Amino acid sequence: MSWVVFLVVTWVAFGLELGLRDALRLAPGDVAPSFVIPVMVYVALSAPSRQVLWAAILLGALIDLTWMIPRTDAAATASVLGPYALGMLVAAQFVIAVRGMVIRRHPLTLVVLSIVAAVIANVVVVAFLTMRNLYGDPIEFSPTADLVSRLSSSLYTGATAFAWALALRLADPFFHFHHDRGVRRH
Amino acid sequence: MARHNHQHPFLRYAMPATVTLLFATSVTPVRYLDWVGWAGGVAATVFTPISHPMTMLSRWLAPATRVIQDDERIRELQFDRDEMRRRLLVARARVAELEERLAELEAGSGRASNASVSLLRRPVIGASSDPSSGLLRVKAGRRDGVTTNTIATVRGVQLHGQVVRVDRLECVVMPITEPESGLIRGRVLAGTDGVPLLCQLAPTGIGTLRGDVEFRDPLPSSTPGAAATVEITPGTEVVLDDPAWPESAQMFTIGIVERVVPDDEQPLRLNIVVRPRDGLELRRVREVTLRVPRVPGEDDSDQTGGGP
Repeated sequence: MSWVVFLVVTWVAFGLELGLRDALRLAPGDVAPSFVIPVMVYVALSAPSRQVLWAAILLGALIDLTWMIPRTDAAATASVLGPYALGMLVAAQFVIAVRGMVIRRHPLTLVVLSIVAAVIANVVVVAFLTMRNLYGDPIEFSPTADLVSRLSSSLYTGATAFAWALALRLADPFFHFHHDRGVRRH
Repeated sequence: MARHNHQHPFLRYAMPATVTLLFATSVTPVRYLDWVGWAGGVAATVFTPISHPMTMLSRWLAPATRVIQDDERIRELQFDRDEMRRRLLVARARVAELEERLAELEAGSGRASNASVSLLRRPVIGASSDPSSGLLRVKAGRRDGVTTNTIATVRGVQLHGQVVRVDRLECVVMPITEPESGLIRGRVLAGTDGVPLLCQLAPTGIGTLRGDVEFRDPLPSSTPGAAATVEITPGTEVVLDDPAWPESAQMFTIGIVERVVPDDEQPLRLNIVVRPRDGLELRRVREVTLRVPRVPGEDDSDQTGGGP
């Protein structure tokens, strides 16, 4: 896999995530699609496992770093490194496990797997936030409500995944995945 | 398998070590993770060149309000009118306070009520990567004089929020409609000259604030029927009157009363739902005006700043 192309796509995906996501938010509420998770799934469908896992950690860590969590004990924000990184890692592992059974180039593959991957990643994130809630970290968090809105967002991610499926098809040759495909997968 | 055995130890243990480290930081209390915020600022700066145009596109696709603004000159006059009205309210509140605390002021312990501010009109360049957070990233930072607790307004006198984090080039603003911003005390301008109708508003999380109206002297809350003597109707303006907020934020508009709901548990009290002016969604504003406190010694003759 070409890491340079991956980083460029990551940069664009985060631009969309940080800039455009609010326009797609279903009001009222916190339901909004992810632009980053489909990129991870796309890479996980084709690249070697080790590269996929590192790519997932990188994407997840960047989500963590740009996640501004309002604190409840002071007029300040908190940042936590890890929940999304580990969530994306688990989700990537899932995609690696099932990618031999799917049609990689079909747009619906990216749509369905992005939804499932988003569910997995968000469940991991909610688990970590719930853990933090137990020892009284000053973060406003309601596990049930948060889980519901995150699962709805996961479903919504299917829409962005479809758009990505069309766009990434154009970028496919630049990723040089064909050099990396393992023999076992064929 | 043989290939893995010949890997450099660093490569062999890099993944488990990274996962362990991430797990550790995932469960570490946030008070020990300030350095992550710094790294997040760096990451956000890297993404700003792409997130800023995307944010502009986003605000064009889904504007903060559907109310179309008048032409520039009329809009400026409206802003001036609102600002003058706000200053009048501040002056009235100040007079009332001076009357109550004359002795304290004579002793020289009065507040610096005339602290002037500079106005910085800056674009919103991004939001949080997680949709549960409604914080906004604004293109103004320490080098522009922005500090934590700097006030952000929008469309003239509409209060937007407060700066909660400042980097060198950017800052993070928490809108008043976010649940984490906490309780805010407002004054209902219900046409009761001289009678401050205060209310404690809490963000609902869906772009509005809600709370009870408190009736104080000369309409004590214990007076039966006190609520009935003052009519609060939808459309009534609510302004900030909260000592917990900086002086420069007082009397800015919190919003307009959208609904008046009788409180079932306290029949003599009114419960109001307040929405920012023009139905503004504070999460979706394109730009904000930061009211940066002036450093003593700076020129106070700024026509746009000045005043509390």
